[in-house]
Amino acid sequence: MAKFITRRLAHAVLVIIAATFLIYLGLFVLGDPFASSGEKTVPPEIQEALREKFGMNQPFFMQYLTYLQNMFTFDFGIDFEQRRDVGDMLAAAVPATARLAVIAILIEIVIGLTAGVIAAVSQYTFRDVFITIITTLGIGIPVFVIGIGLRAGLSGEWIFPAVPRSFTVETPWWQEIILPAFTLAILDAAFIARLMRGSMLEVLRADYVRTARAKGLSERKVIGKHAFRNSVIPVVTYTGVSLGVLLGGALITETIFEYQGLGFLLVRAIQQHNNPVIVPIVVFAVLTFVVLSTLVDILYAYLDPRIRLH
Amino acid sequence: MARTDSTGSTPDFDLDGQAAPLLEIDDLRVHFKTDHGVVKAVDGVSWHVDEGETLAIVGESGSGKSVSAMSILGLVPTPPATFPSGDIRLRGRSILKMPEKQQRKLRGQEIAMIFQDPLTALNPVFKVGDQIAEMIRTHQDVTKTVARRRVLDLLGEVGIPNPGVRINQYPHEFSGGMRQRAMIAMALANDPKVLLADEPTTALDVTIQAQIMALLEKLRQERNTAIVLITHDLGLVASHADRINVMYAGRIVEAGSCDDVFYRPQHAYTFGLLSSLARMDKQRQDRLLPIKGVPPSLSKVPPGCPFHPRCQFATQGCVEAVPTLETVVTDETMNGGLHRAACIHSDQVEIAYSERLAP
Repeated sequence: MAKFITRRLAHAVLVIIAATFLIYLGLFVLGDPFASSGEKTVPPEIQEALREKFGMNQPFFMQYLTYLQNMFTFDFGIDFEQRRDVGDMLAAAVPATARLAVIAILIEIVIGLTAGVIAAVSQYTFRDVFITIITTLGIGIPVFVIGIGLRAGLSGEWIFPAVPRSFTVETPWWQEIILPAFTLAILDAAFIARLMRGSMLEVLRADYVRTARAKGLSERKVIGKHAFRNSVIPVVTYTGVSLGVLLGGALITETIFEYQGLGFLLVRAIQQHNNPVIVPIVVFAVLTFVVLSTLVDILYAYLDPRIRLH
Repeated sequence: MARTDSTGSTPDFDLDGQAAPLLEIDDLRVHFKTDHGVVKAVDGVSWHVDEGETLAIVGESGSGKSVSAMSILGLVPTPPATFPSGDIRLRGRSILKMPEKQQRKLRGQEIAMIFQDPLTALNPVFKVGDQIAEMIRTHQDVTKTVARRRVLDLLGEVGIPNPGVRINQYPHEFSGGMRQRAMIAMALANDPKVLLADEPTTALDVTIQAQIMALLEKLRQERNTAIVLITHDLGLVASHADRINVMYAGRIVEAGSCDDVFYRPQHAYTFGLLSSLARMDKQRQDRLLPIKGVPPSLSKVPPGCPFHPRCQFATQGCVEAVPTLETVVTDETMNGGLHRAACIHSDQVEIAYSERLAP
């Protein structure tokens, strides 16, 4: 196990180096990030400061090493637009995104698993057909349609804050989070319900479920313990990866609700060619994804003892 | 131990005035409604089994032998299955008419089952010991520690070496034979009166098969458990069963003691099964005679005797009416078991078989 984790961490470091290198190539080498373009004019003193900071006058390889070094010491530089410290911006956005991601995942697990189990145990009945139709809609309707719909219909009503945001009104975080969290959760909940239904139906035909019944266990135990524990394994993989993606920032949803997370920050940064903001966010997204998929593998081995980690 | 009737002989099928047999199936019909019509998996089957007795139910795949056993434990899902007629009685109490909750108390407690493939029959994500302990704690109000001690005893009893280590292992860490032993340990956990063994050795090596059968035999003797052995393997039946029911297309076509069925078969299908079997107890080996064709689809069972399209003895009479199970009277019917067969050509079958047996 320790060997497995060590290797996966080494793997993560390699992925990060490769990812940063590609991002660096894309953003810093293919074109001058500090040049004025179109209507944007970058003041010469900031251009100079940044050139100095990132060692832009040095050879390419040295530049990259300096860039890596800055990154690993959490020195992300200053953003082009507002000249704020990028580290501070991230420190504000990461918890917001993490909160959103975790709550969205919790919602989708609860809804998705419940719907999937209900559909599976009542296969071909009205309930099953109803859930199938709803999940098809959930998977089929694009996230931005759901998001815009919820924003148009609910924001500003009841407890939901108005969008666009008013800077003078303080909103508790949980009020801010409900609509974006549901927007994110709907698609995945529908997908998890489908996955769980299929997996459960397969498991329900398994011999060990028959054995559980032959033992005289109640149907609740047969389904809730013996069948559930086996059929939830593929869902764990999907949910883990999904969390990894969400932690990197939900671009569309955060933008629609003007939710101050990494996704919102990233979209604005891309619009503004704000490279010092783009790079760490993308690297963070890569990092969370690698860490989460490692955790999923460990959890997978725990859930299915036939899998051994080497 | 306690035979039900005072004479000490095997109880008759006609039980008026006698204590009810341990487990009795009476005119059971299990039909499945499918898109291709009604599948009559079990179509009017009656049998019984008593303490310390091994009843074998023999037949090809799809003859209804497993379905009849699974109905006893309520493992046949309804729908699609329906039970148009019949009853299953444990000591005279009807299982089919019991409320579900009461039925559950019998499962694993009074009647336990072991299955064909011990790898798939054990849950892969739980430890073997926990799965056996669950069986105990479902039916007995004991602490985890007590249950665990019982599991260790059971594992030892079924011949699993190192119970202390094995109890914490997962099914995939067991070999095939060990898994089946674990299944047997689980089935025996609550000291059931009846053990249903559905092809218990089919998925195992031949040497392991013998060990498992010897284990079942030992447990039957020690605990006086009734065993219902469901199998397609006539060889297995020959050495371990007291009585045999031969099933074909959802019906019993021949029933009798082991000797009666093996040495004096009265049904053309039994004759076919025995003639297709290589025997070691004969000097001269005849050519093995396979049974032509395949078993009928249970949604389109042929009229009359369901075996007639494949039968070498078939005549017009076989097509016209379904033969009923009739008691066979022969000079040699002497070992207490009642020999019955549903074949109008049983005389010819007997003659043909004795010719095959003759050296």
